[in-house]
Amino acid sequence: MNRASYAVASFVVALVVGTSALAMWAAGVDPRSPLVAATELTLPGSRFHPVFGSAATELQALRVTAPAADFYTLQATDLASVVAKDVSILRYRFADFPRTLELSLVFRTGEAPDDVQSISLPRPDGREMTFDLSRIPSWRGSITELGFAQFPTAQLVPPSAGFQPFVLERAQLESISWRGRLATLFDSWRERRPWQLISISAVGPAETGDHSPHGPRLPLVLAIAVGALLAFAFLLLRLRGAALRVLAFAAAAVAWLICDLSWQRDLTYKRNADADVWGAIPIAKRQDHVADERLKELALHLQATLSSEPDTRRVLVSAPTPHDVLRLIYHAAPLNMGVLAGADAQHAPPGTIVVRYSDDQPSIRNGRLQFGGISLPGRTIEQQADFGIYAITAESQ
Amino acid sequence: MTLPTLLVSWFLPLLIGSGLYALVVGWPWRNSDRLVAAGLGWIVGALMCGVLTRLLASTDPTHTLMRAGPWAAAIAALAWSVAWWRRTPPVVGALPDPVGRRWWPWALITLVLLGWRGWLIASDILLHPTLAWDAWAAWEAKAKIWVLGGQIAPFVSFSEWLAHPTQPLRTGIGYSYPDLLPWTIVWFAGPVGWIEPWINLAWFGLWIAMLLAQYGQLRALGVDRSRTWIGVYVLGSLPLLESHVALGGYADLWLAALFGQGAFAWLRWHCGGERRQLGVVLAIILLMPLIKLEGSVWSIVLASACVFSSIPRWTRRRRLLLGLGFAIALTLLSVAFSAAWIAVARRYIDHSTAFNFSDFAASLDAFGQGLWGQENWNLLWFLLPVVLLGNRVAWMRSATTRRLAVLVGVSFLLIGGLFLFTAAARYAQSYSAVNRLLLQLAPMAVALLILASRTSADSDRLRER
Repeated sequence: MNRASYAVASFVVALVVGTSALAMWAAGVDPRSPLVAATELTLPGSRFHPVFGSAATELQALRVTAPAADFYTLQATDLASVVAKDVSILRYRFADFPRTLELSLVFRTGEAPDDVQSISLPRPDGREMTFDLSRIPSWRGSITELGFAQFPTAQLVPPSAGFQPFVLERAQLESISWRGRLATLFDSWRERRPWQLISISAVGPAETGDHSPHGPRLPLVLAIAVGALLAFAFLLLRLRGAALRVLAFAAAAVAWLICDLSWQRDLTYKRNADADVWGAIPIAKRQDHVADERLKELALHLQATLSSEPDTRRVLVSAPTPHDVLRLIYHAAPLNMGVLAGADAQHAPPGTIVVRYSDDQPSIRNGRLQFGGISLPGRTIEQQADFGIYAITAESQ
Repeated sequence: MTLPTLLVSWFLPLLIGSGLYALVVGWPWRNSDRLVAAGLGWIVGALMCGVLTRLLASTDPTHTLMRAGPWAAAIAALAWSVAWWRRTPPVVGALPDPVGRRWWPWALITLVLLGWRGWLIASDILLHPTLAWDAWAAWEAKAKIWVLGGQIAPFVSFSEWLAHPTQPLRTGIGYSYPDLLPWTIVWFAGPVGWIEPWINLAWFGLWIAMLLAQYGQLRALGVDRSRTWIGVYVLGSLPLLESHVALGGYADLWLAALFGQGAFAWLRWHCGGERRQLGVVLAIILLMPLIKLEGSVWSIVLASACVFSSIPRWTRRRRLLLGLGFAIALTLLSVAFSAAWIAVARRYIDHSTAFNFSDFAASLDAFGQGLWGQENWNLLWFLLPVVLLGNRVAWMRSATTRRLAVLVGVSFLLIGGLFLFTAAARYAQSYSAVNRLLLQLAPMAVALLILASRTSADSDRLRER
């Protein structure tokens, strides 16, 4: 073997070893763990029973046919006190799982039987998915109950339009292995999500602050791979100058393309999820088909109730969360609305309308409405269980 | 809504903006200038139509095309006529390309990849209503109230709104935000009414315009066609940037486009000797604070760059002091005239007197995650430092690249300082704002990557012409 052949051979060996080491690091593979799982606990879909929603067994699977009244579905099964740390890899397989639903794993431990733990899972896309539960702090002790919960994607899908029947084919808990850890890494890169609130600020995290445990993401791993490739080429192949530049360009271009195609696949999923929600609705009506259906209804009701009021009529909104307040204001446009909060609200002029969107009805005493810490002289225009409309009757102090 | 009115509302911004561009910088003889005129022209033209909407259709914002449209067309015709009348013969021919280097494969790949992406994004925009939080809470909330209320009424603070119950005032969380973008949204809503998917399609127009202008500017800065196409693909494929296009309703992409174009115009003025580009820089300096509060900061950065670079060489040692003096003077003027960004800055500084190391570490981690740990930028922030370090000998010879590197560096440090050392750290830790501010640097960062990747032989063709 001449010197050049030796260099090429060592380069190839370094590349194989380096790629393997990188994949093992990214997947969190412990070299001492077995290649395949030593322990497996297979749970066919038929073993699960519906806790919320309707479902029927179908051979070895469970077909979920309808959600509960609150559009929530949950299928669960009891376990004979499985030790959590012995089975940290979860595999699950669903068929026909709609893009409009979110999926969570719920479980109970023998140590805290009254607490139900819930974690978000990557959506199944027709293939078996794998998830590493060892990254979840609450996955410890003995697991006595395990289940899957589904609900319409928050702040995107109108709850009444989220559900489509699907099949829970099977789940499997298994011990940590090389195969299991590597599968969780690739499945985390394969995970697809519809648009979320965080999407405008960050691509990748499932939520604000990114608390979901996950391995390193694709761009970081590819960047390290490109760096390693160039280092090996520099050290072992002794590439310099233009040759090294060409290799660097080619490697970076391929890595960029892989990232881009992965993002394009994600974007296609988001677009298809949107098509599932709004595709059949005329374009001008799509904005009426929203996740906060109740707020939209209330907004339309407010517009009808206050239609004879002048444009300058002030309307103050009280709701439990800033999201609800702002969404109600947006839906009810062009009503002249503001937030019922702070000391300034005490100086609301007579005639101002106050809208409550919460289950907490204001106490009315001596002609004064009490909203939390705010007291205003007023009368009731309309009072319902989850909302009320009131008018301020005289200058409040 | 009819298709012709919709097309007119999209075509008029192109006509007025490109006309103003031709008027300011001269007749666009070269392809690169025609593309900048089209891209930057559409962006500025859309904002100009927003201004005209405010001036001429504030009492009838549902008929923007009828009220502001003729004026927009007249201004466009006048601008193009004067530009034609004042045109001078081209002094510079086509930009040279390296002999034997094939550029069309890169063009083809870029067009196929971004064309497919464009269809995907445009069809998605038309599918969904406004989804992103600040879009429906602030930017589009104002515009929706104006369009459906039939009047562009001023937004004021909550206390002022309550104190004047008979006046046609409005309030909301974005009352202190600049109104230019909501006016522009009203312009696009004019022919279609309040139909969110149609309105949000304006962000798709912005994406196309930004890519056209980026191509034109990179070519004008002397980058060969192959690298230019790659640069356009790199910018057009950034996931967070595309999220802003697909989700529509935020101001950051408008600011990113303007800041980038302002920087390129500054380089062409300062390094390329194109004197009339200064007009573009000044227009962008004026426009940015009208888009978003941090636009004021970028305007100061760009204005400081102009002042700093226009000081004669013999005063080089004093430049830093003079630049600092200018920035301080501008800040004092902002304080004197109660510019909105001063209140924001003061709020952050007031809340940042006690340094907390754990908070700093968490912010640093989140900042790093945003750059390298998430999927916002593909490999942009990995490649940029590597190219800057690895190819430093070549790009350090290029005055254009050096100056752009300083501009990107200063802006990056400002963002880093804001999110690491002030109360804004919580926005870094939640990933809610830090990446959006970095987005505002994206066109410049991509251009820097492309310029810095050139070999010595390719560098500074602009200077050599």
